[in-house]
Amino acid sequence: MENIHLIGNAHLDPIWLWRWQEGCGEVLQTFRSAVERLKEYEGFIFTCSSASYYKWVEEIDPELFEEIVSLVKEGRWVPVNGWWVQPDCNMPSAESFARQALVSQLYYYEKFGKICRTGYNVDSFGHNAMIPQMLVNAGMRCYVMMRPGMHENAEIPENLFWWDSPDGSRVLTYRIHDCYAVTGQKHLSEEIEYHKQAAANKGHGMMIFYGVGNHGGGPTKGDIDYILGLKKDGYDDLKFSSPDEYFKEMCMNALDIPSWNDELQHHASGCYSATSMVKQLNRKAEFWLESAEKWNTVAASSTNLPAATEKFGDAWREVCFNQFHDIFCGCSIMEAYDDVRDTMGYAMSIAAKEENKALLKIASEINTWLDGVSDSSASNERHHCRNLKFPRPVVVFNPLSFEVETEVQTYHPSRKVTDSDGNEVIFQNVRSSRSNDSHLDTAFIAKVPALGYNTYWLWHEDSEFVEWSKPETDIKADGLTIENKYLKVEFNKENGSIKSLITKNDNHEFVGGEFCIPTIIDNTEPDTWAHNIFRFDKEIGKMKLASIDLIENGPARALIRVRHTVNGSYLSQDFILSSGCKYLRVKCRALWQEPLTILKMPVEIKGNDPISTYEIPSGFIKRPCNGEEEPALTWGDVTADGYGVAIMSDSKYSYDCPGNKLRLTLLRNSIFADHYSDRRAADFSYCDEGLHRFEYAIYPHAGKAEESGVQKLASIFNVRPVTVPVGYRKGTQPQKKSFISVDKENISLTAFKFCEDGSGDVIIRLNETEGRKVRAAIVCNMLDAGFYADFNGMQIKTFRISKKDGSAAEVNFLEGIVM
Amino acid sequence: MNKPYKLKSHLCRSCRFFALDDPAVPAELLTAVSAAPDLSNFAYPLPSKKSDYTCFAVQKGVVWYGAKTGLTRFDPAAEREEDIIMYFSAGRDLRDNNVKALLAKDNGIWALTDTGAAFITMQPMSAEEKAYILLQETLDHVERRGMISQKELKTAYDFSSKFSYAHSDNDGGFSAACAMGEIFRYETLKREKGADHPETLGAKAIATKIVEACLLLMYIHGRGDGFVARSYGLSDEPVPDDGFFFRRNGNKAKCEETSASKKAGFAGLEIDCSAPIPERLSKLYKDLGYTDDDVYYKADTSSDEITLHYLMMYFAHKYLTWDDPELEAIIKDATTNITNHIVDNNYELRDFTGKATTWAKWNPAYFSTVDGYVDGCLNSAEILSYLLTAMEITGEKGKWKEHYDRLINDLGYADLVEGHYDRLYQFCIATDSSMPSEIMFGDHMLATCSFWLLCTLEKDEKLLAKYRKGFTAWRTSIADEHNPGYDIPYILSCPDEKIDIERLATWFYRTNSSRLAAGVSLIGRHDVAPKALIDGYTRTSYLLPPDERFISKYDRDPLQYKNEDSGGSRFIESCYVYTFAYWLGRLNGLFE
Repeated sequence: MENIHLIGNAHLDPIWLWRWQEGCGEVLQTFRSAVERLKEYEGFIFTCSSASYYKWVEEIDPELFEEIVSLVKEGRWVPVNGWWVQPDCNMPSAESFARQALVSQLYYYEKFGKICRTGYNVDSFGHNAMIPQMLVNAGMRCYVMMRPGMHENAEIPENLFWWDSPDGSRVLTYRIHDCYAVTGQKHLSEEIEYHKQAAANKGHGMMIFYGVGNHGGGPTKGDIDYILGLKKDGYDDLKFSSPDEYFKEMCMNALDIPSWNDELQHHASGCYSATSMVKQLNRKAEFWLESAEKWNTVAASSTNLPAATEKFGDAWREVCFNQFHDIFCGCSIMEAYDDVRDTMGYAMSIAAKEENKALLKIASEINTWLDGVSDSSASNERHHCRNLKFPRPVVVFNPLSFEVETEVQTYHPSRKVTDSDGNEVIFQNVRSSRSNDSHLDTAFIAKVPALGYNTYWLWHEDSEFVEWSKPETDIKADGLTIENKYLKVEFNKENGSIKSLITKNDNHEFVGGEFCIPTIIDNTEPDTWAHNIFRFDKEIGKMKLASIDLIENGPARALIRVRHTVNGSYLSQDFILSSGCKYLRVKCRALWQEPLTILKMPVEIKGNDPISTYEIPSGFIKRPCNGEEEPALTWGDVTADGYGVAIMSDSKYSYDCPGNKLRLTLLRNSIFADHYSDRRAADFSYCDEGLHRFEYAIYPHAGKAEESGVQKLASIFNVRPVTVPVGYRKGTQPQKKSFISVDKENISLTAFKFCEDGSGDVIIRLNETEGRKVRAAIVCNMLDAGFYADFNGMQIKTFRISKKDGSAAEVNFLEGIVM
Repeated sequence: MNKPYKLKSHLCRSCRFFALDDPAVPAELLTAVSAAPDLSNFAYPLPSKKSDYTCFAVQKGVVWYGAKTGLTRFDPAAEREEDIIMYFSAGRDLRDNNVKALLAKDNGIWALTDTGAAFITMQPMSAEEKAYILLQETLDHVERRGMISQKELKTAYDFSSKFSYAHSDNDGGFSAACAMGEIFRYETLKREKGADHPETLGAKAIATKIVEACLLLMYIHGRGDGFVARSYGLSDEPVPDDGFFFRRNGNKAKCEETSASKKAGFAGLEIDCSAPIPERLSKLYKDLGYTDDDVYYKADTSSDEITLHYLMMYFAHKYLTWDDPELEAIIKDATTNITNHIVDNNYELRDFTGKATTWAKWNPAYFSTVDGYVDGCLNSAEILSYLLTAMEITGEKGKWKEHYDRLINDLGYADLVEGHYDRLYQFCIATDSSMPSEIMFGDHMLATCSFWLLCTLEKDEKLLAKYRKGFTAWRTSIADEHNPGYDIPYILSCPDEKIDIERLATWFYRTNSSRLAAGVSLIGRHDVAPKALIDGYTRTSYLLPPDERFISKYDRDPLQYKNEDSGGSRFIESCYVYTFAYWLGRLNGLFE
């Protein structure tokens, strides 16, 4: 019986210890070599992942690509993993996983007439618990992975198992034993013997992944000849195969195997924090592209602005590429991150331009005319912001699927701010980022409907035609204490930490120990990945308090600035409490030049039996508070005795939680691409050296983290409303409008885009975020659409709205173009 | 649940149809000038496309919107979210969907369509009232000699045109399910009103008759070997062309000519039928003037009926026999016979040829076949439940306990029970098919029956834990139905688990008060997003309330994107779908 499936493959890192140009060349050489081997050996089968590689070959060597197309049709070349690359499988957002599938599976379908049915991330450094959902939504039912290995986590079933994600999705998963690049007679013979024994023990077939890898290569003639020789010598259990064939064959027989319903961790725990720059770029690009595409869809559906679907596709392809595990995990060479900066910049430039066009287009339809006002271009003032006789209109846009009330900022100081209904709103003139004219900008509390806008009217500070507005506020500040209607925060003047954090509705004190005191950890031992090290717990000490000052105390917000130093490094934190805000925002600026260190920010709470909870793609996960470094998206949380504190961040992905103390990893200053080197070189480059600007926030709450509204607040924290100054126009649209209604707050809109097939149909993607079943009503009058959907906890659902009649169909990530 | 959930009185739709020339149709409806409503900023999803709405009428704060594609009721003050928008469509609520005019009158709404007029009222009705209305409909129109499955009408919608006979593949199984509803009602009333209360006695009479009809199937074939007939008919009822039927004649029964029997070469085959039928059971047809020789029976029984019969016998024995020793003896005898038949025949139900029927096999040999591999997990639970039930009813253990232990210890059946979905997923991957299209939705009831019995009767904690795990594994697809008939047995079996009681309430509130299986207009609804799966099977994006989806037994996918599934307006279904769930909940104190 042929129960040892030999999978000829070539693991290709497009970037790692080389830049992408070399990776591209490596792909071309490997593909050419594989085609030659397929011509030479009749029964040989070659398996290869990553649509981006195929795209390179198609563009650079179309003749070779045509040969591959033929081989795919023959079933001898097997594309796997319907994603653009083998991404990191912890840190991309759910929407990124959707785009990985969308740009790739449609490419495969176009070129090969079929899509991949097997996911394949053999080198990725751990896999979040929602991967089954991401695969199933992309048309894949089976999965191949390797890390963590048995030596890193022996609880995860060996070899073959059912993997279930919390939403109810399931994939048949194969965990590779030891190596995805078996090559040479010795290695091959060892692996064959091992797998023969394993097959006998487990009662089902096994896969061996052979072929030179990492820098490409693939199966050598020597490897194939050796296998053929073994078969000739009576090794009847060996067969050239593919993962697709393997899984199908396994399912044709009796197959009673274990199941697993958790994440697959840990392998390289340092990768959640290494090289802050790529993490920040990814977070920013993901959210910006989501927002920009929503606004393009709104504008193109309601005005004559054209859809920018292809441009967004270009941008997402760059983001998807940079989610490759060795890139996103921060473990590639320093030069590679120059390319990351450029390509992410390209993607965000598309987002910025398309968003701007769309917002101005939408804004141009809003009626902002005031009787008596002349057109701003005719004004004697330098620009209409200084039209002192009238307030200037500013439109605030909110791309989230729920109403948002939050602080926004716009240029120039004001004397009075009113909303679209003429009500005064809380505002404050705050220090701007420029050193010009007044140095002041206006911060005000805006309330903006779901995927919609609201128009605010700002009287310039210098206007003599209006009285100074003194709106009532909940903000109070005194010395080192700031408070609003929800929170009261008191700082420790000795070390700059928070010594008291109280929710005012129940007078609960959250501080149970170290709280926002920057802590330095020794990072000498771990390599960039932190191979075999799962806890960063060797504390060097705390940063020293340099200064602590109350900087702002106004109606809209209070701000305390705390500056810490160590050696030549500093961390400046602006703790900002805004009116009506349930969390404390912390705007950070750090100059870091401490080699082989980690900077962590702890929040230690009171209580017993702590539980830590973290956002993962499309949901959340509970993990033990054992001090292991953990990956998370926009928030992590520790809760004990019914009260918890979440830390939200705009660019970080790594936490630990020893006991009651949740710590956000702010910086991790490893040597670039240091794979347990002997570090003889004298002058290393460090991946977090230099100036960093980022934000985090502290959110105290009662009850379970997932039911506390933290996901919604983390979205608000990461996706800020955009303020657009506009002119005075006689428009047809109201000053306040929402373009979609989703009636449940635990249903989040992650995509509002045009279908990739150019039909003009609109794609709406929604995600349940609190882990509970719910029915949602979705209404989009602009598209004449309205429908209901039942969600499982943490489930993603995608809908396609017909341009013709507004009818809805539920589809998967592939938008109904192919299933 | 700590305290009973209060099922309130709830509005139930009632529709009457009229020809356009019927004088009862108000003249002002026929002459009404309609104006399309402005729905441009309507806040809720609407069942019809906005441009399809042609008219509207307001009645006590409720707005009715007529469309080319049906009728929408909008009650902005509705207490329950799912009642804010309701949809009425052809053919259950309207004769056709082109609503041209509406008239609010006489506490109802008149809807004028192309082919007639409908008068729709929303009547407050308690869950109990609904149970009685449905039961009465079943007794009046579906029941035949205690057998209750479904009934066909010669003329659509016209109950008076019903055929006197009926045929259903799982006649016995569906009757057993109906019997259980009545047994639960009887026991509930006995506790609440006393054993001698007229209502209690009435319930007992009905329950007993249906139980007797089910038990009759275990004897009517005269084989005397514990076989169970699938159904039976009488001399003035035509033999359906569906499987193998034997007509009794003295001590012999002859295989009737059907397509299947001719194809298999069994037509005309004679077999023994000399074993006696208990007088108490044969009275069901003899009292009507028929004799044993007037009987023909269906002979290709599946595991489905067997499983439902076991559960029925368990409850009949538990609640009906305390003052009826004759019935108790018959139940014990029937249980003994069936169980012996199965264990003595290598865990199979043997047909007239001595071979296993196609779908009644519970042995390892069957489990190693392609079909049996997926069935094995359910069938292993089934046979374990049969053996426990037999021991419980008869009070004997003996060889049944030996078989039970053997199945568990030697053949690993108790470990097999939780693997159903693993094997089904595996099958789907192997065949490139989708999960929902491969689910046999009738298996949900069978799994519920089996695991309920196992979790009720097994006292060994380790085995009980396995059975509860097995039951919970089945929830993978059962839970999506939000069917109280499944959810209540589950919560009784696994009290640490949770069910969504509000969704169950919706089910009771929104079930129609008639089981006429007229379809609805689901396909094309604007507020429903169909989801086509890899193999073309299509489901709805949310579970519609029962009064807006097709009517069926406990054997169809309620999420299937389909207008009707049970023969439409020419069929009346059994009330058991509602009464089984309602009285079970009442009996166990889940509802007030």
